[in-house]
Amino acid sequence: MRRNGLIGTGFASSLPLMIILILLSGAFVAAAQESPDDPVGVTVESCQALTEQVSGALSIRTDAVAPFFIGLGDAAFADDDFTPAIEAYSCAILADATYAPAFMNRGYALFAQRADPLALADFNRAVELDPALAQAYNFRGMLYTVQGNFGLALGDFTVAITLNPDDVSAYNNRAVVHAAEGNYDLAMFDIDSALLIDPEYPAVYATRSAIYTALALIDAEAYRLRAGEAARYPNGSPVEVMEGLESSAETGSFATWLAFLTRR
Amino acid sequence: MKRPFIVIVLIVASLTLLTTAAPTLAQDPTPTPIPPICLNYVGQPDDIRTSYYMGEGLGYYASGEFSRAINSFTCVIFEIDSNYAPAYMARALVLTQRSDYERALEDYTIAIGLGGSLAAYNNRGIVYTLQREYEEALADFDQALSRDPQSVVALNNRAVVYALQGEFELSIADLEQAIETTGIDAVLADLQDPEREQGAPPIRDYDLIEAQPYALLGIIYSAFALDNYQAYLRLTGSNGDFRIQSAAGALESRFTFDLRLDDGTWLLVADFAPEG
Repeated sequence: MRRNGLIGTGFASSLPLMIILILLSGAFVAAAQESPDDPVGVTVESCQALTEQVSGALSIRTDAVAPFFIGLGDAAFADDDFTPAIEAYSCAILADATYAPAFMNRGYALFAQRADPLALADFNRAVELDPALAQAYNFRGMLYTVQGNFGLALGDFTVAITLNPDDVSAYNNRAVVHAAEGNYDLAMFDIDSALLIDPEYPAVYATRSAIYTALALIDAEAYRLRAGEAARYPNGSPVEVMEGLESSAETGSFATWLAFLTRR
Repeated sequence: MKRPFIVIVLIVASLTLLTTAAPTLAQDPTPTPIPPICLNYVGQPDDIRTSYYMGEGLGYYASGEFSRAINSFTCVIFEIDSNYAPAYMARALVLTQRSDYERALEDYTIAIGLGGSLAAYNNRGIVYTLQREYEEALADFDQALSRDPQSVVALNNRAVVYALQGEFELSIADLEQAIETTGIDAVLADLQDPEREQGAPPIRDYDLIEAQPYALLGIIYSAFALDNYQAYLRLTGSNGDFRIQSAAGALESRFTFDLRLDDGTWLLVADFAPEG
């Protein structure tokens, strides 16, 4: 899963699941509990209706209800249908309130809907239930990033990388934050790490291009400071380069790039 | 003056070669199947992954994302459990929606081999019906009914095929059996009772599918009526009563559009659930 520059890599979980025995086709019922802080207010009946609505003539018998609803939610999320996705994830939580990926995915859908406090609550719950759920830290780091809480974001991306050293998205996201803080060397280090893992990962190149632009502007400014009045002479090619860079600064500045990379 | 012409001829010849080569390359008789992309829930237990991908596939199916739905169900088959019949059933349903009947038949046939459920036979019978292979369809609906002689879905579908074959009496017999099986006639009798209290609820809840045999009976009796009108018109030629000519024309039009039975819209897909 990928939302512009800050990237999630899907909803995989590494922990064994608490499986409750429920038949979707008949009795999605007994063990369901009211979910705390449920943003959409799903009920057993509405979840059952959702199942019937999406499956039509199909009735699937499964003992793993929560993953089934997460699958439903992911399909909706892939179409940017966030409200039905949140409903499906809430049904997963209703089926199993201890299932961390359900909170994580609902948090991400809420994040996409800019419901940041609810998203944060879900991410917190996800890592509380499963402290090894790397992707939940990555998602929460993204939320902190767009809120400008770079310190917390760095912490979460670092935990995500520690838990899953192959997570290209977490490296990319941490590079974004390092760069936003002006730590370009650290940012480039993360970019290099990301590209070592997956050189075909497109967003990493977008981030690196933003960093290069920021570095170019820094060098341009250094040139201006050192050249002084000479920089204003129109017949020197460095001046043309400078002017070109400055004219593109509005679209090429790192702040603009960050806004683009973190937009929802 | 000739050189430009030769150049043009060479260019045209080259383009012709390119355009004719492309279809030749595309006509590989045994294209390599594209493996599904199954990146989620890697490393999880099989039942968890299966449930996830079934849910994802159904979600895509419900939103009309048929290619993605096929990918999800193929993940189950290709990566998790090649003997999981519901994945074949679900994928076949999507393929049917996409009018890819041959591949749908393949999937239903595999599902039948994995257990031979009523639903698998019934749903394959639907595909055969859509392909106008009525004998094969009847054989499948018979198989479905051998598993549950009171299956309203299979009775309904067999009645449609009988009607398409002109076997109206057999069709009516199946529909009447469906009515008897569900007991929907008692609900109807109650609703038609002149002494019934206005706005009172029906004597029991019922599914709209239970009402469908009446719709089909109406269509079949209309077909009967058309047969009789046409017999009359054949006997009377141009001297026939214009009212019958008009009624026959109207019915023929109806059977071409609203009431046609061969477009699959009157067929009922069966629910299915894995064993266990």
